[in-house]
Amino acid sequence: MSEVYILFGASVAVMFLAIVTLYVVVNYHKTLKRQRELEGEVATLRAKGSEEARKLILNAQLQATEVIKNAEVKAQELINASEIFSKEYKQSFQAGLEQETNKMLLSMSKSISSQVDSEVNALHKAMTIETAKVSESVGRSITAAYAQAQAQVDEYKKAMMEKVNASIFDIISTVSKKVLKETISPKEQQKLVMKALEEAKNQNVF
Amino acid sequence: MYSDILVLVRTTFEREILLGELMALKDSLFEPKKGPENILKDEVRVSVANIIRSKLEKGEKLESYIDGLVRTLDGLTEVKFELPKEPTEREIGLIYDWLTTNVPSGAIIAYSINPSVLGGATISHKGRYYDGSLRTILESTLKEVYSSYA
Repeated sequence: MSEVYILFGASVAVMFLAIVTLYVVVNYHKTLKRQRELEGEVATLRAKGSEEARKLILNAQLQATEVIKNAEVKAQELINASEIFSKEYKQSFQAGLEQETNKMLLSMSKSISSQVDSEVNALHKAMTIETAKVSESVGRSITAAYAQAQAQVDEYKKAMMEKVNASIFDIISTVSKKVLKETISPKEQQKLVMKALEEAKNQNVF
Repeated sequence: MYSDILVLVRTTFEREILLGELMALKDSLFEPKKGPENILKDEVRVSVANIIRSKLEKGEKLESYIDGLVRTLDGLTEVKFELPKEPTEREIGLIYDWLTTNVPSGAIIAYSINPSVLGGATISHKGRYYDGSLRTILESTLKEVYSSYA
């Protein structure tokens, strides 16, 4: 009868464990899906950020070039309008102005490029940190869900083990008795009886 | 005096059979129609009948022989055995030989069947008891193992 109870208990335990496992798998799948979506969003934002940065650099370069060119034109107009300066000086001034303008444009371009690069890097860094945070958060929720399920399984396992331990003695005893009863030969029985007689004699039964 | 016939009495069952035969013989002494010889032929085992005939040939009085033998049989010490199943002829022989050697006053086997003994035997003699059953050996071993894991 106790074997039937144990069999029933074991079946219930297996069903319970199957349900818990299914629950964990479904939750794990959902969390994994969410993590992939978040990673996709981060990648999209990163790509978008880089594109915006490139547009900023281009616009800044165009605006700077226009400002400097306008300044150059205005300066040239002022020099040309003056009668004080000689033709050679005007030509020399124009050459010097163009050279300085080009230097300035190059320097500005480098400066803007460097600044934008720095901002893009900062953005990338921020994105990376955010991605790590999201991964960590997702990891934490998976770990927490797993730990909770594991704790439930452990608790149930412990309760079942206690029940099994309580009845294991009876089961082993019953099975052993059944087996012994059927397997002892007449010769072995004779040996056991003679041994019992000797031990009884040693204990002063006779 | 009775050693030759007592060899045939190893167990309480064998004693009951012999006592039945002796009672039939004694009754025949008071019923002339039957007569002891008829009883020896019809109701007594050949081995017992031969021993009694030899005693009568040596001049023993049947009634006093029977009375003395009954008293001796009633006074035999019993060693009680609880066995898991009906013992074999060899098993009975081995136990009886052991008792003859180790119990100086002489003893016969009184056995009962208890399948829960599993193997071996429990033994009782003059109020003293020894449990040499496999049931007890198994249970104490299992308890030891179980307590070491509990």
